[in-house]
Amino acid sequence: MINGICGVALRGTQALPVEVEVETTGGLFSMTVVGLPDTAVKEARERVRASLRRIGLMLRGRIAINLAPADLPKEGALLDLPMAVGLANGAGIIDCGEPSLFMGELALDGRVRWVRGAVPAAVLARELGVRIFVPKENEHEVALVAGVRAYGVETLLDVVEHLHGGKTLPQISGGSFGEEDECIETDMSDIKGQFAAKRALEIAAAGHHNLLLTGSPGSGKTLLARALRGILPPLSDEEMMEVLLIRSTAGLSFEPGRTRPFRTAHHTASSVAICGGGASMRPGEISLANRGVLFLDEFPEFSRDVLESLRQPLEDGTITVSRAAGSVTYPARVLLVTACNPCPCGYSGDPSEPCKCSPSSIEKYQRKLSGPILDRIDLHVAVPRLTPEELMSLSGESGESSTEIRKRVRSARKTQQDRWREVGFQCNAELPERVLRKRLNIDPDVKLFLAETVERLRLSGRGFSRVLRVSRTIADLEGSERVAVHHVAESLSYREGGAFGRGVGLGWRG
Amino acid sequence: MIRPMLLLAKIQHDARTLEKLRGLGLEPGAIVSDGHALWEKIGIGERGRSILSESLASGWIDREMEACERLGVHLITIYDPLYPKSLLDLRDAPLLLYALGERLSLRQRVVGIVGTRTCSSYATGVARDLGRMSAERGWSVVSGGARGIDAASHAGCIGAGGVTAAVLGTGIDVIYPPEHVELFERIKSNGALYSEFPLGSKGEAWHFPKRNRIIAGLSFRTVVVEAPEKSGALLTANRAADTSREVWVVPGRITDARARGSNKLIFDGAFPLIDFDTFFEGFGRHKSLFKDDPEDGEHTPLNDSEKVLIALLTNSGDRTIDNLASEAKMSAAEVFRVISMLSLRGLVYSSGTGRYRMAD
Repeated sequence: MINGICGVALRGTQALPVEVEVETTGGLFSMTVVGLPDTAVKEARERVRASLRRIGLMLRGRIAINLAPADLPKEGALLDLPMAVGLANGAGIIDCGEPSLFMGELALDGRVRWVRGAVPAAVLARELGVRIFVPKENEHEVALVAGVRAYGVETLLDVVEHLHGGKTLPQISGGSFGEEDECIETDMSDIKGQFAAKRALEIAAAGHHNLLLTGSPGSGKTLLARALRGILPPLSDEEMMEVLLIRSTAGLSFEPGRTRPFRTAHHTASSVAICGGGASMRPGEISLANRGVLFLDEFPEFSRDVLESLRQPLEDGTITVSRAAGSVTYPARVLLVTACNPCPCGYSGDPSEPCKCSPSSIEKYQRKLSGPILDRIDLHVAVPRLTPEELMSLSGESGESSTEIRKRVRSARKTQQDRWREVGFQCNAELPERVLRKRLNIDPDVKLFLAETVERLRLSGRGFSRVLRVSRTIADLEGSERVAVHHVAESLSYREGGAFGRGVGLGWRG
Repeated sequence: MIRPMLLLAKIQHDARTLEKLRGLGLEPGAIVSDGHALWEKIGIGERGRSILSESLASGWIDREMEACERLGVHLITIYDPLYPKSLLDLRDAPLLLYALGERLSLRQRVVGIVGTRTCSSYATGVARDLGRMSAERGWSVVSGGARGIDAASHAGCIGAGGVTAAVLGTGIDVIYPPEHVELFERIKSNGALYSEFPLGSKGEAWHFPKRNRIIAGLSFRTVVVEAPEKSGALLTANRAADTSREVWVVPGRITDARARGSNKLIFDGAFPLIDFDTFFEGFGRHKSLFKDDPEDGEHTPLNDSEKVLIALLTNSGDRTIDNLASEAKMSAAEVFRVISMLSLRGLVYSSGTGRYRMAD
């Protein structure tokens, strides 16, 4: 429970109440803010003083403002409004009465500006059972938090009048996450040909398998990755709330509609940009893509740091950012889609353009991707660049629309949820090895086939589990309870290096 | 007899030195027992002489022999019945071969496959096919164990269960290039590694042209798959021609610098390898005609969709899944499935990013 006038401080996607205490004594004018304020909070003095002058309150004497709890770091301009209200309250202009939360940045003319973190603050207000005053510009996102008593304010004067009893602000209401939207940005049927890659995308979407697309420049990898978004099942209400919380924390506006997030990052991105952090421990791209797709083009060009730091979130679905100031955990359940060229120049294996790379540079390029990060990527697909003749022979064939594919994906997801509920998993990609081998439900002749295959292809233990997981998803897409030989056969095509005619010298590294 | 041969091999002297000894009416053992005067007489330079006396003084011969025994390396001298007779055609035949592997004697007929390390995927494919088809016909494949063409031909031969030998330009215990650890293991179990250089020798640039004469000498037919203008493979071809061996060349694109040297060989009169049938004509029986290998996957009948894809791929190679799906009126999923099965049986392989072709 809180008392009096409170602001909020953000800790990850969580808002914590900050009580604003004001004491005024006689003497020359001075204003001190204590309680671990950052520079933006200290500078609030000038904004608060100017805004109060606008509503006719001249500050005098020695003023001390204490932000409690004193050991919680406070940052940003969102404490401007509670400080101004606290001073007005102390001066006896208004009587706040019941405890309330305030947030907002003040302009010198008394307007209240948009701030990040309005959604976590609204969630906090709902938990505490108190009313909250937020900037008018944040109104539409706060409206989506059901059951909160919130008011949108345009100017400091609005708040003062409301609390004084002169004019009553309307309570924010009527937000809705909206219906499933049928408008798909990049539809599968807009992409000509690419049946192989589309099939792989369907499997990735159905089993939540991470994906690596390999192909020459201009073969359409980026377009395909974008199309994946449209075949994923729509976000549920809880998932919408997660997405909303993270976007609000990161200071991004919220787009209505239930399409899953799609985020891309350039290969020069730092691990902080991808995983989150910085002075205010903001969420990174992997958290912004939570419940959606994170697309990393030119995957081998990402720094070692970034590649390594992706491992843990891909495993756990959350990412913990730890800094001297404390640690924050963000959700990070993403479908990772990565793309790379077959070699540094991009034309290895291309029939119309000779590759200019030396074998050692190709090996160096491919080796960047080796190791633990590849263990988290179940599907490997080659996207060949088609010759003009090949393109011609395919023209006119565009295949199914995203809506049709999404139907199959949804039913496969449903099957998986029902099957794995008792062991606590959502989809095939999450299954650990022990569960996988025990409960896969494979035909006896598949066992024989698998034993031979492992021998022939020299599959590693991990490679073998990946084949099993993908086979399970293929069977689920087909609506088959048991995994049969033809499911396994297909999934072998998506194994690491399965579709690449690497130089034999490299192939031996298995 | 091993001791003098080890010494002479260490300073890279060959059969010509043996010839000189014979001219003086001496046995090879004299190299060890006599001294500087003899060495100088048979044309061993100052540097070679100091290496010899240093080696004798420090007991290098015993250490080298012990190390060979420990590593399981056989020392085959020019007098040894295991010494490949075909090498005797070289006037500079090596006096001693270090050999390591399960099958030290090559089959009756040997094909040498050589080419550049930085080759096109087309050339890799041809080299692999040559390796495999030679094995199927009961031929041994000899190459240099290097990247590119060499690796592909060894791998093709091993894949079909054939006998293959790699003649190395380094000491037999040195794995170069390092990523060939596994390839060398498999060559050892399907054939043997050979080297004329002492244990631990690094791959000096001049080693490789020197070992190429061994590849040329061992092979009855030498195939140059792809070679740019300055390539060790051309030296091998010249040595092969000098030793009255057949030289075959896989024609390459005339605009491709990687094939300029090999194409030039055709211009100079080598046999162009225009198709496999011509090359293998008179090469003995085809293995699959004789059902001596019950595990051979080729005997399982093909199902309908497999037949359709085989027909399409035979018609033209390097096809993508998309084109196959469209032409065979199958779904991508089905094509993936069938291609997997066919490549497991060794009938189809991936020739480039997302492209497939027939292995035959």
